Amino acid sequence: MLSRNTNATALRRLMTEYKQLTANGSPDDMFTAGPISESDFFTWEALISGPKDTPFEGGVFAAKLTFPSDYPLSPFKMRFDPPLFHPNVYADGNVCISILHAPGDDPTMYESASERWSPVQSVEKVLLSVISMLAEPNLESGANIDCCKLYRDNREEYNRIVKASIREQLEL
Amino acid sequence: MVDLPRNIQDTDPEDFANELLRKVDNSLKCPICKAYFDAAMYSDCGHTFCAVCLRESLSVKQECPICRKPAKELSMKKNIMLEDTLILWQQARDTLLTLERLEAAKASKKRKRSASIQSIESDSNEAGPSSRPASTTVKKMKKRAESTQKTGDSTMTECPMCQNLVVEAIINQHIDGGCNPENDKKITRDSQRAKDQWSSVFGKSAKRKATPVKGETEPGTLEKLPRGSYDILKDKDLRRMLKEEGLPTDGETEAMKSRHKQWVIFWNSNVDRKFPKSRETVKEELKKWEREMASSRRKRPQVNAVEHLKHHKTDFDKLVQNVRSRKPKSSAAAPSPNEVAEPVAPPDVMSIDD
Repeated sequence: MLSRNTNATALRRLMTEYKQLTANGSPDDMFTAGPISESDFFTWEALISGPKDTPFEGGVFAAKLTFPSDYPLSPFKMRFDPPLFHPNVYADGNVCISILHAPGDDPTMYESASERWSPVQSVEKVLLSVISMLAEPNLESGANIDCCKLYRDNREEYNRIVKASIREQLEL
Repeated sequence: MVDLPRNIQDTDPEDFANELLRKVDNSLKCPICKAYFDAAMYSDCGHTFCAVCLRESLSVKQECPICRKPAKELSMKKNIMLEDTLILWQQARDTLLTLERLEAAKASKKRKRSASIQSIESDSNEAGPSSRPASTTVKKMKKRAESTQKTGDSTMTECPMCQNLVVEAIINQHIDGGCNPENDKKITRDSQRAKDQWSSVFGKSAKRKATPVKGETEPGTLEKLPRGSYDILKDKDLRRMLKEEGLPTDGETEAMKSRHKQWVIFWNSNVDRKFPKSRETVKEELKKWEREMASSRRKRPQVNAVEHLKHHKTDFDKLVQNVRSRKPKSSAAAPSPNEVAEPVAPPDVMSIDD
């Protein structure tokens, strides 16, 4: 629910971002994003199309974006729903990517500061980073260790599982 | 329907159709809050933000949000020139938007007009210029010179179609409009309005000084506050500091800390404003901020632990099963560090993901 006390700065910023996304679209129509309902501007849904020349090609992946009340000071959270089989996506669908980590905490201890969240980042920039993450997983900060190992040791099997999951998803 | 806060509706501008004007407009907005700069300031690297936005960002990490070069609150400087430009731009903005719309309307008229001019030219060609006696042409030209009178600053001329006196500047629109005098009045009004608006952008009103609005404080009389060393302060000190600023002293230690911290950010940024707001106004802003933060904090712990357990029961059960099925193996062989990190077989992973 959108309470009257919702942070005005965060709301204005989100509305501006939404407006720009709808007006300009995304590069190559790689994704769309917007609030799920008009009553809550702090929960968005994003649809990402799988990047070309990757096993994810042809798939469409839905993710939920949850914005904090002090956005853009703090980053938002991104969660694939249904979860995605990918080295940098946790089993519950949460995305582990350095651009969504606040400069204060460094859970993985080896992210360079230049890749972290800063208040000038935006939904668009994060989604573009996630798309390039789909194409090139970062094995250094794995979220799904099994998937990391599979990606490293048995790429064919990894590709097969990803493609199978996309087919399964499309048939549903 | 969403009932948007008023300030958002007010600052949510109608955009320019012209891409360049839109870019100019956006370049005067803060990259953090995406609203027009409120007390534009920059640090050593030169990237400019609102005073509040930059201070808040520096309180999280002492670096420029754009280029990530080290930045300190103490090295923040006002971007006075940008602020002056912004004031002028905001005065000119509405006018420019109106003009843009007028131009667009005119452009659609122009297209029609050029078509009618072509038909006039072909008419006169048919008649043939040589067939007309030279004397009449001269007489006509003389007549036209006489008829070209000055009324005010607009030159009058005779319409070749209806022979009425028409303002020269609008003669084309006059012919387009079928020589209708009513239509002329409207055209004159429109072009006069456009002229007025251009002069309001570049003429008199551009020189108009922005005078401080009622309730704003004269600049130069306010002093900035130092940040407290909140980690070593005791409740007693915090209360005294809040009292000195005339702020409420209720709430827990954390609440008092963040209240004072935010007050310092708000107040110092207010001092940086060209026309600082009154102390009472800033206090109101702090109150509002605190309410917003409190309401969003209250939202989060609403995730009930029991509900959470219920909701994820199947997941937990699955995990327990996984571990149980693994147990006999590890007890049979001595557990090696490698085995701890051993992945579940891929098909299992898939079932979890689904």
